[in-house]
Amino acid sequence: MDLLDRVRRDVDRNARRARNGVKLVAGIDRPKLAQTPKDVVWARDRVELWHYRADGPRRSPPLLIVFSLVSRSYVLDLRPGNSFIEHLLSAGFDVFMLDWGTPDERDADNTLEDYVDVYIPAAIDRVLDETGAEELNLLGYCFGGVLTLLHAAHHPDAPLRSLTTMATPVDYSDFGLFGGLVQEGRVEVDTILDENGNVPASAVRETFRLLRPTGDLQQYATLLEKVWDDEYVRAYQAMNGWANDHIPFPGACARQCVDMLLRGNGFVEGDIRLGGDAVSLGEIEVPYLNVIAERDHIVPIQTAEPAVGLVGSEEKDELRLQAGHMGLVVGRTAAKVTIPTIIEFLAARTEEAVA
Amino acid sequence: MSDGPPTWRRAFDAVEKPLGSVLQDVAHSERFAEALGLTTRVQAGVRRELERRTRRMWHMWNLPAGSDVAQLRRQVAALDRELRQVRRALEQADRRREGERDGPARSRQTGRRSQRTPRS
Repeated sequence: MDLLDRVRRDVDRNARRARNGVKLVAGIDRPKLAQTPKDVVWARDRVELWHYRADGPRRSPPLLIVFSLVSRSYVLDLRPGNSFIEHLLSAGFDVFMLDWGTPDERDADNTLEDYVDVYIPAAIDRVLDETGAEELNLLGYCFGGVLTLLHAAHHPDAPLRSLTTMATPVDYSDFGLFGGLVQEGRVEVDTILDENGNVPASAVRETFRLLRPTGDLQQYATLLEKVWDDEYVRAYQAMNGWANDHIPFPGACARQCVDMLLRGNGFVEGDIRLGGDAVSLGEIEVPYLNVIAERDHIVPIQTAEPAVGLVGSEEKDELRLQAGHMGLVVGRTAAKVTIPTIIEFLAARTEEAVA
Repeated sequence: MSDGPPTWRRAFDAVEKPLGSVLQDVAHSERFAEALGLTTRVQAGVRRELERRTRRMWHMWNLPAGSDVAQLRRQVAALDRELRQVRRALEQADRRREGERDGPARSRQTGRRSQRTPRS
């Protein structure tokens, strides 16, 4: 590159730096998120079941995605061209998503049973009614994976063809920061509840921040370096917006998770009770895939990998990918490696679309 | 001019990497967890005390305090929850009746394949 080209490039980059800088500071021209068209096919309380629209025949049975309770589900449909949902639709799946909405004081007493024994079964029924299918494939992400595991274990008669969990913690004996904070005599759930009786979104956000204390600084430095790059700025706005957009965690459910999962390590110790019943992952018999992100700083690998050993299914598999917690579904590596592999697993458990 | 990271970025990384690692170790340490636990307990105690005092002040003027409103909201939420449970029970009863009337083909519990059914 000769001197003139370099000067031209730098002038161009500086102009874009100024433009993008103004956009970032003023908070204007933000990328549009969750653009895949969808219909709300069922709603109860704050919970909604979305059916993503797609042209042409779909693979059967349908796929129901259950997302985490502490963050927003739109990360799975972040923006056009960078959307897990888009990939699934392109592969011909009939995709439904169970979105938990934003819990308020009416949800403060929601327990795991509400999610595992009420909302998920109701959503499954609705998906089957909507599609006419006899069964479905269930996929849980992060804490959504915990909910789907509990559902499949507590309802061995559930109409599931397969279960997939992604970045899902099951062994809490070495859960890093989260485990350390909630040990007996340290942070008690009741001391952090807000006036609604929920763990406030700000507490969830700050706890995640503690996992990487200089993470924000690092991101700002990278943004400053690449602020001339329009695509990077759009991706930053979308991802950073989501990363700071947490939702409150229902207080009763938080207490139960701390006692049963984090302190009691219930999945591993076989000491989980839902609605008075003992629940064991060994009860799960459907084909199972556990997707683990090897660079996951939120759900470290040692907390996610025992799932395959605990689940009772004969047909079970583990997929380890060189990705971070959200890198499983967002970004270039996800598009090239993770998503195609998950699609391959699910495609083997669905029938081709019939015109 | 090189295409690598600018000088300021290299300097930032040189400081951030070791600093980040130290801060991460601190955040993951037992002492930090204990200190955070103590801080949340103290904060909760201060919040309770402050709430108690301001409530007394408002009540002196026969006015409702924020905690009274919060209490009302909790009571409404409890009623909402009870209504939800009644609605669920009614729906389940309806479904059972429907299942009995239409036979096993329409029954969600008996009409669908379960995890335990052998697969072809």
